[in-house]
Amino acid sequence: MRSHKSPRMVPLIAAALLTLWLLVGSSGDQYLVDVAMTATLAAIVAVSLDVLFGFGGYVSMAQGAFYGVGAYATAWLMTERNWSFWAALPMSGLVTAAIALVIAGLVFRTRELYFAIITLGIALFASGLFVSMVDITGGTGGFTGIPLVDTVPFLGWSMDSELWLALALLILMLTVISAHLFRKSRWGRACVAVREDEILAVSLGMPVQSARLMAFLFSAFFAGLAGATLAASSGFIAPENFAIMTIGFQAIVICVVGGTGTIWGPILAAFILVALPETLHVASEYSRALYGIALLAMIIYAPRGLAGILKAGGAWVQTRMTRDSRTSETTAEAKDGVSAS
Amino acid sequence: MTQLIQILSDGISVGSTYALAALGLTLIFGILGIPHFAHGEAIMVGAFAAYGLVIAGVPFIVAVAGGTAAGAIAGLVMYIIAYKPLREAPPVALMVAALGLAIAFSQIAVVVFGTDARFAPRPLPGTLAVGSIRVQHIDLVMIATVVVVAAALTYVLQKTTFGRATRALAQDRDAALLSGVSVGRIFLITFLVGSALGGLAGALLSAANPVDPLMGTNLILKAFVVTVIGGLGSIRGAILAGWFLGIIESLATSYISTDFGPLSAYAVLVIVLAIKPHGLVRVAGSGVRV
Repeated sequence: MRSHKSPRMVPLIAAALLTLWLLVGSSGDQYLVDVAMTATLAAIVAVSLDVLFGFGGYVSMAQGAFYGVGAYATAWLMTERNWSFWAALPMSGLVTAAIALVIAGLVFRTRELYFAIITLGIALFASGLFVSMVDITGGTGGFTGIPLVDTVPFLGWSMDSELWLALALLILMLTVISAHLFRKSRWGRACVAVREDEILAVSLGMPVQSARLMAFLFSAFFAGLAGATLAASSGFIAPENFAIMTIGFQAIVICVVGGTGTIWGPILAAFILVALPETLHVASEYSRALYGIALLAMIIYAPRGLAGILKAGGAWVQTRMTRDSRTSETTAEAKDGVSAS
Repeated sequence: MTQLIQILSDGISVGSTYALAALGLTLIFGILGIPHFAHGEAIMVGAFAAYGLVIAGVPFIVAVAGGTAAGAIAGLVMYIIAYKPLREAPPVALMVAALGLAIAFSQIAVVVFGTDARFAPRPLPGTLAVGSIRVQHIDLVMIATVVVVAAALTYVLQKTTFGRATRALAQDRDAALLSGVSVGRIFLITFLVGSALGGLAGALLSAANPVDPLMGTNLILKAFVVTVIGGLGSIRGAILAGWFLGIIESLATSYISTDFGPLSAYAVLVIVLAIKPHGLVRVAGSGVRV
């Protein structure tokens, strides 16, 4: 029933992202490049959450906090320790994952609603720290003076905004491939088993504990990479970049609207929800109100998200094309795709 | 010593606002089991309604009644939009829907009112001084309201047929249905009473605090902390936990740093949930403790 069954998912996503980069990069429109960059970073944060939320069934509200930790880690390493961005990038991912490892000891004592509430507490605590640890973060005034990244080492290309977009898309692709491999691994299978029936999964001897820990570290590591990319590419970060309303809730909205557990659904949803309002010049408060309404509409009428709708649509078209004796069966499947949760 | 007593009294004043915010959530989350992240928006709607009425020149007591009604209406809208269609849905879907309601309500309010904080003219500007300890009149009203509302809820839940039916519903929905309890009606009424209490909390808050569209989102987590620490569904627990959280915040603000005051509430939440993973009392099967 799930899309990972399709073996062509990874190359298809790669082709779509490459096409996007060629179209946006060759347009020469700076605004379009910036919008694509914002959407790509949102997609990385959402896809990494999808591993924990979609596969494992854990709704984490702390994703924005991890995005922020990665960003502040890179900003601090580059500014105060004179690290090169190319060393700070992986280091920030590791720092974020290490912090997630500590937090995991607290949050995985809870589940379902309580997991959501405790991660919301962590997220609000982190936002508070971003504001109050003025010595490291610069407080509400933001972190200024992050050095510019001039060139790509060895290749010597100068880092213009098109190249930053290419880097962000590459990290997104890395996240997608890792998520795909994770889903195929013992951990991935255990995660899905926990989501469906935890007691059964435990009694079958599946590595339940390590599976959800790995999913949590996965979500933190890639959110950290996205934050690091944001900090270095924009040169300035402030606490409102990582507020609950800005990115933490947004990641959940993107996952649900795209279709949880499908990986490609959230990417599609990130570009629709983030890029579309921007290109249509919708004010951000309107687009956030729209997020809430979209989230409600999808969870009530299409809990499988855009991915579910598209798959059902595909099945319906296929039925119309073939018109063979299995018609009724396929239609039933298509309906199932939309209504089941 | 006087300073410590002043800190404790400030803590109880602030804690009473948390307790009042949490009483509605105790009914909705503690008894009905809905992870109602949008309860903060019922508080916000109540605050805006009361603010508007006070600005229009209505006496404060009428404005508070208006705010309470507005909270109930907001609750009714939320129930019809999201919770009624999702009655049979799994908990994760309910949680996501609650989040959707919270985002939609607060952001629509941002679109309509802007993000600027508004200040109502203070209806009760006076201060009570006992020795060198000072308590604002509005805080006394808040504390009194919390105690009266809690006593009324306790009476209704313990002594009336409606209360017995609600407690039956909290313990076992199917068994309550089989015993002839009109589950749908009780569910809706409890939800509306909870939302009305949210409106009341918002209306009283508007008398001493700035009113803005995101106030509910900031308050809701503290209300969850209080509801969970107090023991889900426990009315007395919610009040004690509200005061406890207020005092902790007040102490942290005075003795650690002003920045750490608000953060201490989140730290308490994370620690309590990590020690007692289901809150201090389990949600299902525990029923209502008063």
